[in-house]
Amino acid sequence: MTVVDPGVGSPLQPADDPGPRLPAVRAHRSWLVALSAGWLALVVLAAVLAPVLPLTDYGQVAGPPRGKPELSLDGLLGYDVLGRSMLSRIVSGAQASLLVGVVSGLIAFVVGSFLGLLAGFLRGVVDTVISFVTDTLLAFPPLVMLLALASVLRPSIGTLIVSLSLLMTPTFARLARANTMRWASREFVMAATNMGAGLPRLMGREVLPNVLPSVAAYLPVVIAALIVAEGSLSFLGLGVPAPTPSWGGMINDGQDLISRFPNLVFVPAATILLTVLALNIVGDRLRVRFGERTR
Amino acid sequence: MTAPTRPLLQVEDLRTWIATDSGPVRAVDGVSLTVAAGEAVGLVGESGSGKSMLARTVMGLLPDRAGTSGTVLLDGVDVLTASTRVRQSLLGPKVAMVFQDAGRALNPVVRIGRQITEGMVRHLGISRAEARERAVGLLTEVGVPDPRRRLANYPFQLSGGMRQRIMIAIALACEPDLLIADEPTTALDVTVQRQILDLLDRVRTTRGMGLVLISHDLGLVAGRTDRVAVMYSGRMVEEGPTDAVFDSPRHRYTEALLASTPSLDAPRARRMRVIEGALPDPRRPPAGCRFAPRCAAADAACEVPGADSLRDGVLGHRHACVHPVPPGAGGVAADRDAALMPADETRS
Amino acid sequence: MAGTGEAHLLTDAADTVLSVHHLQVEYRTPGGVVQAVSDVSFDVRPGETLGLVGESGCGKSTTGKAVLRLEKIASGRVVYRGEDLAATKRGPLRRLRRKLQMIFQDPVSSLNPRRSVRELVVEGLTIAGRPAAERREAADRVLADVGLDPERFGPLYPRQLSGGQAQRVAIARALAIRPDLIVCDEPVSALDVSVQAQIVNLLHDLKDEHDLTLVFISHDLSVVRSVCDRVMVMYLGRICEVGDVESVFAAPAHPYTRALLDSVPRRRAAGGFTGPALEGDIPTPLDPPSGCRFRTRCPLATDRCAEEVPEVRPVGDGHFAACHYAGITADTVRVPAGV
Repeated sequence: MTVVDPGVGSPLQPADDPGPRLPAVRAHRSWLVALSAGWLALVVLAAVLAPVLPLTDYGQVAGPPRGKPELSLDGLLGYDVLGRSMLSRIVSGAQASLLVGVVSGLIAFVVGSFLGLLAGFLRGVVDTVISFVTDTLLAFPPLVMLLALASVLRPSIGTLIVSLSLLMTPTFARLARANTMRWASREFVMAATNMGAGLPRLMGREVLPNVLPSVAAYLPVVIAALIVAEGSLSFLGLGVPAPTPSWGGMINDGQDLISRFPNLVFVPAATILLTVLALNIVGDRLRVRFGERTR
Repeated sequence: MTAPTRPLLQVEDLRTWIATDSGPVRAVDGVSLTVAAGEAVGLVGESGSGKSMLARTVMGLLPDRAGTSGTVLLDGVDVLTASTRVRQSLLGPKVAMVFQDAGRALNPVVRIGRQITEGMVRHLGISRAEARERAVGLLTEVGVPDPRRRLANYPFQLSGGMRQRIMIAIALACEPDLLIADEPTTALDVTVQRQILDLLDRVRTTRGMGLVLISHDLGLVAGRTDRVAVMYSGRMVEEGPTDAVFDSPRHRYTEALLASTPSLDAPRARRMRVIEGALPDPRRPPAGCRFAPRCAAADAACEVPGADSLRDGVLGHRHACVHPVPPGAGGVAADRDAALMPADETRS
Repeated sequence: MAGTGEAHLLTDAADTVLSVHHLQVEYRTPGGVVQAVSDVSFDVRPGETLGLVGESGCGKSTTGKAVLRLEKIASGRVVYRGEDLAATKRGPLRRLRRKLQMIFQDPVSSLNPRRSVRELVVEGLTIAGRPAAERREAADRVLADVGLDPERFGPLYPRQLSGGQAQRVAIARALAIRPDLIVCDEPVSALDVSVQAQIVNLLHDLKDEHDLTLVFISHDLSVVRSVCDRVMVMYLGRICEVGDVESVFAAPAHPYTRALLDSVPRRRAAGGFTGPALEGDIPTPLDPPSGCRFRTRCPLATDRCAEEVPEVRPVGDGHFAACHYAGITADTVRVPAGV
């Protein structure tokens, strides 16, 4: 290879030159996210497969009351006050807890996004009314509202879902409203207007697809909060009615014996902790990925 | 224009690379530049040329993922290897920077007065009261009307032009020997830009301060610098006395850039001269001259590694072109047919 | 001017594509009502490129958007080929405004990030309910028109495009519905010099090929000079000067135009500029100066300027200015100013 007049100054480094020492590109703690996603998959799978798993029914006595954990499938996590299998009750409890969390979260997401889209895009009177209602709901202490609702309505999974979605709708509405306002001011919306697009197209086809991902990224975190809320309500005896097990209900059942038989409380509490933690970690990752994206 | 003394700023073979998921971005890739005391140097290039990253390296304002090699001597001290404490002591008294967007560079919740006096109290060891008096003097110097009242204002209460004046006052507070102005007027209207440029000229000459004026606007740099350096894709392609570079550009890129910039001085042409194509991928730049893929005069010799090292010329006018424009042939008046290449830009 | 009047309009409306009369646009702000555009009249002739220049807050962008009814018009008429857009109802307007398209400053912001290039460029046809086959054909055609290979760029999303490519897509989208007039709002301001030249040339070529009329809004006087046939200078919501680019740039009659031109950095001028700097800042639009709005910064201003709003009047062939002292230099007026 002929070298052209090298001239003065620095010779250019060959393309494969390692160059200056660079800090390693930080990985996004991917193992933690993977672990969390794995745990969530396990919980969902357990909830779905609960009826066909080779476990004694959650209502049946399977061992000694308050029995210590032992090396059998039913006794892996010990037995509750009545001698029912803790593992079986955790697995079945996952159904109620996840159902309440996910369904009320989704309802709040759908209703809230719709209201937020209307308020943020149409502004004016619509915005004033929707914002007033959501702000009022947000200003209400959540526990007081839930207690009030629980005292009026008969406790059931249905009423629980209705009250919890009511609790979370304003959050989503505000989030969607702020996002809608940001996107509605973008010039592509003006361009579509100028090409003759009507309101439904502008809202549904131009703005909504951009608003949804960033709002949906908050779903896992909200579901986590709802699982905790269900637990608190059950702990107060206002949650999923007995004998259907729920994680919060199990803590409530075991609370009197916590000093002598801590696993009665510890097992459901640890399950809630891990699930909520996993949802938050996965949710944070989703938010980084979709939430703050402006383009 | 000034006799060679010890350079105020001496950048030698500087490389600033930034780690990304898809390999290092070679933002600055082997650039040397000197600025003498009291000298005004223009640093010109399009976005992605590395001009701002060069300034940030000097100021120690690099992102965490950046790595550097080479030397950056500021009054004889290598800022790349100096301790944080030593480097901090240089920022302010030795070198200060003015940013493009004063609205974002100023702290929105801190009063103007505090933002100006902070550095003075720390670096000059003077009392707060004395610093305030000096701040009033500085604001008067940069042409802020009613300076005493302005000290109590927050940045959002001022216009863009006023905010940029405040930024300059803050930069001048510790009486730096060198001021780096990174696109100081890009966000401003043309009549306000004019005021700020006049202001920079004035404070530079009255204080005998060195100035590095970074801009994408060739006309802006032309009228107010002694020397100019042109960057492209992380490399220095041409450097020399401002008049020489603009009147007789030697590098093909400089020549094309000048010709494609509309100007009030050039004859009015309906079709503009175009540089076809786009910047190379900064992670995998071409082996030889980085402008070769877009250059009409390029041939095999341009692709040889090392083809784009700077060659000495008359009066310190250096260029990095294998097939330079003949002296006197380029410049504003010259116009050749646009290169015949497909009209699409390629990206990454 | 900062002045008013219609002296510069063509008498025969049939010679215009667009004729704007006494346009007024107002914004409600917490500080009160701002007149962003105040009594502005101009016309756009078939096949020409009219430049609107001025600094931020002068109302040039608002004027461009109001013409397309993208801003609410407080009063005035916007006559497009005989029809007053300002008085047109929503339904007919949706069809009519398709003839008038717009290209925006920020090419990335003007493209919906969730659509592919192929969907984006035919959005106008989709809205009009055209069949898929026609849309596909149109997409290929307009992408080729703007110099983008339909095969390569069709499936891409806006985030995968460079600024110049995104602006080409925006231009293709406007072309797809065969407009008559395109308002270009700072179409090259966000682009690098070398890309800027590519887009300017493209607009120039497309204008000839498609028989377009352009309104070119820009703060960059050098670009306007090479792109436009006529130019209108605005300040604080009003017209200062209108005329052929050659005569306005060679012999600016309004002191503001002259100050603007003197503020452009020059390569060859001593000190980098050709004239003195303009003092002060633009006054707040909430409380604009009486009479001529430029008088607070004008080197020629006299008492008359505070009392009397200057009318647009001819100062040369096809060249108009709204200044009581249009064409007079500072030296000649200094004396009366001191009286």
